[in-house]
Amino acid sequence: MNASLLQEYLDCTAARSPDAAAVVSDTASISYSELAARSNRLAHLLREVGCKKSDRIGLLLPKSIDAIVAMLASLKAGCIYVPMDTSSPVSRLQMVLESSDSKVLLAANSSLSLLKQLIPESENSRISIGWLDDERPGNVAVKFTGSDLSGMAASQLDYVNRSNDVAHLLFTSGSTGRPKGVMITHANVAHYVHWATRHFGYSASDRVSGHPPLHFDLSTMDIYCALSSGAELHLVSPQLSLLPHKIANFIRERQLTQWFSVPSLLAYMAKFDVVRQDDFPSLRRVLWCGERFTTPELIYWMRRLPNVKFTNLYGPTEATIASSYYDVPACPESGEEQIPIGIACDGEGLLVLDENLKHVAAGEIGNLYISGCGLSPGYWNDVEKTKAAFLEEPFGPGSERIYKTGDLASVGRDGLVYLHGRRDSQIKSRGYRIELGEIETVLHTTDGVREAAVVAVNNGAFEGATICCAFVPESGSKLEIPALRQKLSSRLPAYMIPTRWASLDGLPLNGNGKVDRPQLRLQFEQTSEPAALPALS
Amino acid sequence: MSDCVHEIQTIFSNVLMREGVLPTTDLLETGLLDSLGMVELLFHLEQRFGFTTNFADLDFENFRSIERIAEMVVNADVNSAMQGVQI
Repeated sequence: MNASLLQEYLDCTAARSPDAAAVVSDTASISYSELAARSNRLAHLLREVGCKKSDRIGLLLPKSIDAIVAMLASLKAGCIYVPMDTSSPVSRLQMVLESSDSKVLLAANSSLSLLKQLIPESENSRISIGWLDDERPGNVAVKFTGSDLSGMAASQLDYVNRSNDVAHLLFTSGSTGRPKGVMITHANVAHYVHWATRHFGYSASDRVSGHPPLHFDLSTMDIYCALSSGAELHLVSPQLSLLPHKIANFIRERQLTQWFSVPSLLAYMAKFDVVRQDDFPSLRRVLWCGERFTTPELIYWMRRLPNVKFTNLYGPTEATIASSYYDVPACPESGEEQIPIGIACDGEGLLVLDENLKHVAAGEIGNLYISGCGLSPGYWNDVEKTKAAFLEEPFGPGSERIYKTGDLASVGRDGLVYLHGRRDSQIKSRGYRIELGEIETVLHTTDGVREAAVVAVNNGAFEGATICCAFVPESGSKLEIPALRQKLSSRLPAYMIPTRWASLDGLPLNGNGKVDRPQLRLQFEQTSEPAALPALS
Repeated sequence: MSDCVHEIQTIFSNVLMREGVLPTTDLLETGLLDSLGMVELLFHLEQRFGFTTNFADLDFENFRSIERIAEMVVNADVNSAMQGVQI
């Protein structure tokens, strides 16, 4: 379906297949017509309470049918939605609320305790609370409740946006300690969805997974590819990721046709050997994105599921979902084989350039840039960061804008692009993009810490890079590791909390007097515990 | 049982670096136990108690709290003893 606005996918599919299941959670499911009606009612209500085109709507909702309704209603009202990580500390959510300058915050019983912590700090803001459950919550002033929705029209709203308007803001880790809001337009997502639905052959008979959290840009692929093709979207509860056999059961029982997740989860399932030979008879494709999938684990999956197609996607949030793909043609013969990120998706470009923005020769390593339809307009309210990351007319007047990913890459003689790590301290852990500098910034402003450094170690564990923290307590301070971890937990999301810790008398320094990070990495590598996991077969 | 609870509390504070976790604290709702923590926890349960289990027998409720984990470990101990298996 060729739509230019994301809510059009829902409206068109609801008109074509009103009774088909659109979204299925652990406890409920909603048809396309119901999804359209509920999101229309909420959109009418948002307009009634004064929401105007491009106002921001914060979504303080865990992954749920309500959250999908809230996203679509925000778009239908002409607004920009801001999905918030309900597992994040209040202080970080406060930064997201302030930075996005949200006019309305949508919440429900599932996020009540978080809302109560967030609201006292927002008392002076102009934010209104929209409560999606019927019963008014105690001690929280709300602008409307779910019971007000029944009086609203279910009719479709006129579209007030253009395709280049921002559809959502996605906040990612920022090295200065404040998350950055990446603006993603309707056109950014629609272009990708148009390509992906054709390339991967989505259809109304598909049952696709909704595994990533909704503040993670990969979730937009599942949601809008499903809506555009009339497929069923099966939301995967975060708890499932704790027990790998439960995920395998989920894929089996829901008869999923497509599974899309981060590699760490696929590796976790492989390590615990929960995939049987020729398992998941309905499954036709497995996709991953967000970090490198180690080849031995890929071999494990491909040997067990010889009839399933496997695709590696690559792309930063700033370039919308994914910019390149690699359909793995056959099971790798050796665990040493490197899996490329492949070639650019239609309408996008991968450029491997040297410091002077000249193309490097085949096989040489350079900086990876992305061009094309997926590029975000930039960071919300941050011209400086936008200018630094997005280069306007880099090759002369009229030349195409490019985004500097920070990744190092080469173009192989096979014409495919391969990744070679990064120059900076950004890492990927469990699919999340993390600026180690952000963790250090928080550590440096934590009572009892004199010095601290955070490094990432690749020790072959399933989660990708392991985050390691070395710190020096202030003299006289009795700061213990668990107490420091607790302090960090109140300011950073769980996926940014280091796994390995060391309390030292002093950090190792190099000849320039700076923290010797390679030495620190080595120390952590040497003290890593062996993985308590069965060997792969 | 109380010894087992205490030992598991020690694993949470000294190995997983989770401070102030009470025997009844909800580990899943609070996010104190994630997949990384799960791997480490299983490793240390095996090291400390010889606890091994068929993954397919496990449910989220077994990991809801330190108390529930201790129950699982103690029950596994009893079951194995009944079968005359050294754990």
